Amino acid sequence: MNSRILRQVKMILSFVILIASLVFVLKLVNWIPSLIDRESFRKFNSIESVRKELHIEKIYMPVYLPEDLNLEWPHQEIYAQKKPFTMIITHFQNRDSKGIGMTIHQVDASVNYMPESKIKFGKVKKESRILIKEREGILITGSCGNESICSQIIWKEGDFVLIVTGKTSQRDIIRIAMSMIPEP
Amino acid sequence: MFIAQSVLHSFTALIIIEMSFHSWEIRDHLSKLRYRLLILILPILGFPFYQLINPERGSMYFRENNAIFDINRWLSLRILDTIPVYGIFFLGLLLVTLIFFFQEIFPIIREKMPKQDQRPEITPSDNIELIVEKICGNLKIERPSVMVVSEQNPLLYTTGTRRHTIVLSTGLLQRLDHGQLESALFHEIVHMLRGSNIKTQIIYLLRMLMFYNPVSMVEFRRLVQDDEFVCDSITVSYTKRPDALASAIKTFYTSPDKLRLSGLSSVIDVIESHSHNILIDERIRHIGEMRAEEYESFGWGGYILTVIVILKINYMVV
Repeated sequence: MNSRILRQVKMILSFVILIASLVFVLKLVNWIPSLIDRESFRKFNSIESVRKELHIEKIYMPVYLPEDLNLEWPHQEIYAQKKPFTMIITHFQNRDSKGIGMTIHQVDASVNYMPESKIKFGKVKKESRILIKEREGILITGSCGNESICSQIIWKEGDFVLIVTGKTSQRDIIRIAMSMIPEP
Repeated sequence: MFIAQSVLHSFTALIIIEMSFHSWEIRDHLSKLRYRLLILILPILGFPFYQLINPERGSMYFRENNAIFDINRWLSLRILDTIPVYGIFFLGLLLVTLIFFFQEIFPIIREKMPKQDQRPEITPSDNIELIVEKICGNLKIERPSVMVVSEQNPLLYTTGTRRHTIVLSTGLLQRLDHGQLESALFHEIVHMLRGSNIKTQIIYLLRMLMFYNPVSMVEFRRLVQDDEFVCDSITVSYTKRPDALASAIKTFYTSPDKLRLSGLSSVIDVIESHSHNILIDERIRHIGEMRAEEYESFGWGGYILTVIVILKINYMVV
């Protein structure tokens, strides 16, 4: 009886070790391309490391975040790529819900690409054209998830298209967007 | 997306199943056959199932944060900044598709076309009928019809899925003695009993769904081989004459020396003939190594655990 149990334990142990080694090899093989191509889409620790490693000079960040939005500073996650085109995605976490409260997408304006946002609109209520510090932009308001208010603002800034999406009112999102535009 | 992932999922399933054979100490071909079926089935169903439970699985965030392997990382690379890896990958799949067409579909089309030189049919001798009658009586199954065709090459196969016919060639009958013929016919009747024809057709259908997949191509052949091994084992367990079956199988050796060596088709014939002979060698070796305790009860615990591990790992392979 004991030898049977021992045999089964050995079998399971052998299976676990083999599967763990397979996962390790898969992760290793997955990591190799990032050594070959340092400029493709990946996660970064900070804006500074994006600047340093991808040599992207202009990264637009808000200098104002409304207190009632309760967003953590600095950002929760930052993803970036330089190939095939420059794109920076920043996620800000809500302090209470721990969910994503705001996203900023900075995409090369020469490509017609709209990245998927982690904040998804359930229902769009209004879409209008606005001026943000003399730049023409589009403001979208609606609801996302459990009927909470969501707003998005899109405009062209230099060589980039900026898309700011937040679980907040249109007034707040305009103020955040305005704080991202550098003073002349 | 589905194409690349299904190839990848087949490959990981293959590795996990080979690990299972080692860990669960699986040596019998019936169990191996059940496990190998997973390599054909799971990659077809996996992708839609995963997308159904998590539509975000394909997103760049999932790929970056949750995936243990993302094929896009490799496919987006360029060798020497010029040759795209995805081009090489899909070229490989195209090559497999061409092999599939010329090796598997083209012969079927050729077989279905009307032939001018039909092999003449000969009435089977009483001896063959008696052997078949005796085997079916022992196994308590309906007796199939027997057809003998005039052909110098050794041929033996079973047709039909519900009403079976065993087809033999005169060339085979000339080469086999009574004991060998009995073992060979027993083997065919075991195929009939196991429903090998209908099972092979279903497995082939699964294989056709992934015609571009090199893993499916190899595994389909291994599944068919496993079925042959299973039928060999059952035959020997009844007849108790492994030598008779082994020597009967030896008559199916093909000699590449006798093939016309000109052009690509002859080269392909030589390769085919060589792999056919390797399979025969394996079957003969397997018959020689057969042991009474080989067929242990199927370990469902290990099987279910293997299925869960394949599903879980492939979920994170995008």
